[in-house]
Amino acid sequence: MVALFAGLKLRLIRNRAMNRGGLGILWLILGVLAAIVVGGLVGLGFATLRAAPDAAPLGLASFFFSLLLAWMVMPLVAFGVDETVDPRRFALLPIPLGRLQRGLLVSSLVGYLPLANAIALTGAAIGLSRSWSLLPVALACVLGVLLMCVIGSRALAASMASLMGSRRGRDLGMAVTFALFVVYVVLSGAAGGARAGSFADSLAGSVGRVLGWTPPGALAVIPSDLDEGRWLSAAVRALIAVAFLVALWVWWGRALHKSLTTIGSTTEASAVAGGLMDADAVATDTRSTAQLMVGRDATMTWRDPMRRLPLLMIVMLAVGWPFLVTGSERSGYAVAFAGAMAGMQAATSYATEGSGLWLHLVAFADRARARGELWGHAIAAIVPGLVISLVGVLIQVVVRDGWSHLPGMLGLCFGAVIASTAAALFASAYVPYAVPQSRTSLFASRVPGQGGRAFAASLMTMLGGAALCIPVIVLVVLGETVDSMYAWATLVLGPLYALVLLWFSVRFSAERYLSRAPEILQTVSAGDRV
Amino acid sequence: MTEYAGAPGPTPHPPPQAAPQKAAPTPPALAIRGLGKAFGGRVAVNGINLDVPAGSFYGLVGPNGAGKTTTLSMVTGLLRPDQGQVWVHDVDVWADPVAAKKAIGVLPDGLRLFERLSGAELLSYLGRLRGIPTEVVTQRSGELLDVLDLTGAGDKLVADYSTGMRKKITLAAALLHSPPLLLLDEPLEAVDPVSARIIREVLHSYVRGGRTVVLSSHVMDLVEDNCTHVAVLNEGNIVAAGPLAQVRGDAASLDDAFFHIVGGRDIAEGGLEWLRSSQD
Repeated sequence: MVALFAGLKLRLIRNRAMNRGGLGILWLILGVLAAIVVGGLVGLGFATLRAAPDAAPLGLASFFFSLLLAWMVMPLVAFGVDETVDPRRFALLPIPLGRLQRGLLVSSLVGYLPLANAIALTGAAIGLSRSWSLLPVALACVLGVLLMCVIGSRALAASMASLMGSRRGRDLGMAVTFALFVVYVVLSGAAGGARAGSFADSLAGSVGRVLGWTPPGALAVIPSDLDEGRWLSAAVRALIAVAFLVALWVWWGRALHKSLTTIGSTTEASAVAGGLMDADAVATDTRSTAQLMVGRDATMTWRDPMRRLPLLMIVMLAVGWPFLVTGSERSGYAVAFAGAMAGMQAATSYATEGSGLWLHLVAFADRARARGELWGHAIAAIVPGLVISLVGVLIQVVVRDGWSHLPGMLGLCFGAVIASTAAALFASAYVPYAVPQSRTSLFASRVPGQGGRAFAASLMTMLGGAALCIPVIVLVVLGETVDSMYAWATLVLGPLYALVLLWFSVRFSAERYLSRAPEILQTVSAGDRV
Repeated sequence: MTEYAGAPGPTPHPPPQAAPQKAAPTPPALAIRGLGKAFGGRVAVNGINLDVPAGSFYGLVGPNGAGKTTTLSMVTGLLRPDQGQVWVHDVDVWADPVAAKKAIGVLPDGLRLFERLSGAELLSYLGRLRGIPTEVVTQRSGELLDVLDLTGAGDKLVADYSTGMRKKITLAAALLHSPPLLLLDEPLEAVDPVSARIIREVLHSYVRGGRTVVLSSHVMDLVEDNCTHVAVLNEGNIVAAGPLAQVRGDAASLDDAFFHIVGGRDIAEGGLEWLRSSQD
């Protein structure tokens, strides 16, 4: 049975690659090679810790703990995109739960990620072996860590299967993704600013000592305990680790049993809607259609974490990122990147609701409303983009005392928001592509068979937006190098020029929609089936 | 372009007035001429002609893959035909889509809605998108939600609706602008009996008002019990069409007639013998 599951997983990986054609096989080979290289490099780094026998256990205790945390968080952040065999496929087969669990464990150990982890952990085992006689113990310990990671991750995924299948569960996943993004930005900043001071060293040591008594951390300290004759300490740590493993195994078994024998309700815990914004707008012309559309977009963005999360990330980019990339008084210019990202939120305007686009197709086919729809999408992206850019630039100017650069910064950022919106709308109509409608992760953003189309549209949006900004950038450079009058010209002409671009984009894109709406619907409807 | 067997060729199709049913006293609610669509090399709809009399309850039946959904998608403007024309009350759907969209209400099968709006918000949004004044939208939505037994779920997000509730809210959206023609693709599929009964009553009331309903289904009993006319689609062709009694002919039921029209075959004597055995 175990061999059967391992074979099944290998076949799944192979078939997935084969279905994508020659490129898929190439990606498969590159993926395996990447896992070996990355795992090997990390493992090599851990192996060198053998030269620092006092630091190795505490350092690796922290790493093992972080690794387990990462595996546990993975189903929350990227639920549905991992390569694991779905246990519900076996619900109707007469397989005893224990045997199914063992089979699933084996299948979970087959894949790029477990391979890279196994190689890295082998290096860690070498790093923990002060003498070669301790290597078997260290290997057993890292095997325990790997099992904890896999079983813990699977147990959590099985427990959350019904929750993550619901809208609220996915909202939770998005919140965790955002929290991780914030932690990443903060830690990046801290790492950049921190110096190898004694306080940092002592803090790391204290944390390592505490983590050494957690189940994964304990496994990192057992070899050194044995080496130094601390038999009781080693026994207690081993007991902690084994008890935790057993608890994880039991938890997984129970969660599996529940997920295989119950069906979650899709109508439970439905949120009461708060009311549509702009409730009085009636689409009789372009302006009123735009107003109606802005209200709908704002409402749905607020309710859909998949749309809300990028906005929160853009806020982080506008406020935090410029501090990380430059320390000069011109750091406010870096906010333009966040501004461009805000404008790009208008991308896939016709695909956001998948086949729900039919509701528009049967409701109108006139030019005024087609343009109004696009103006609405544009305004819904531009208004928050301008506000975020303004706040981001002001923070940089105040902190870095860059007031003299303020006009140029605002002109560039506002221009970037509007110009990238123009590019995004154009790509929406001319290179539409499907957005997965049941996606449960930001990382699952493309539909099989439309990878090339999605790539082309993304390229058109990003490069197009950047190219459209070139005249504004030229003005900024002139303002910084020749005369500050150019900076004021940037503030006025930058947004104005971008608005002209947007006006053209809306006209062309609306015409495209009116002439190709059924084809656009067919393309974006593919997102429903993911 | 794919060649269609039996298609009338590249010349313009006759307008609905010159259609086969010349005797009809009023123009048909829906007239289809030479409508065809192929996906890759497979012909889904093979240059069909059809007239739907105004005020009729018209059933479009056929086995899975017969071309019902493809036909309705082309009629409603959701799928561009490779050839042919469609008129709704004398308005060419593909030449004058602005006018055509005012004349039809659509309930497609298997397409999503705006999932993060509540049922009431969806109706409000779609009504106002069609340019209907807010107070009219509010009054009509309230009545529709009430009649379709959705008042209690009006504040629920559509994402949390059951299949029956989704069909009902889509039907409400299709009725909101009071169109003369309703085109419904499998409106009762996977719908609970209570919801199905409500939907049937709403549709009958709509037809009694002189309007026209075209629905597709592969449930013969549903069509036989409710429709005045029926067209049988098989492998992309209309193999029979007309008043229900005429299509049924001498057969005991529409189901029997359909079975013989599409060339179904009974399980041969001796077939699946192992299912009647107690052995593994």
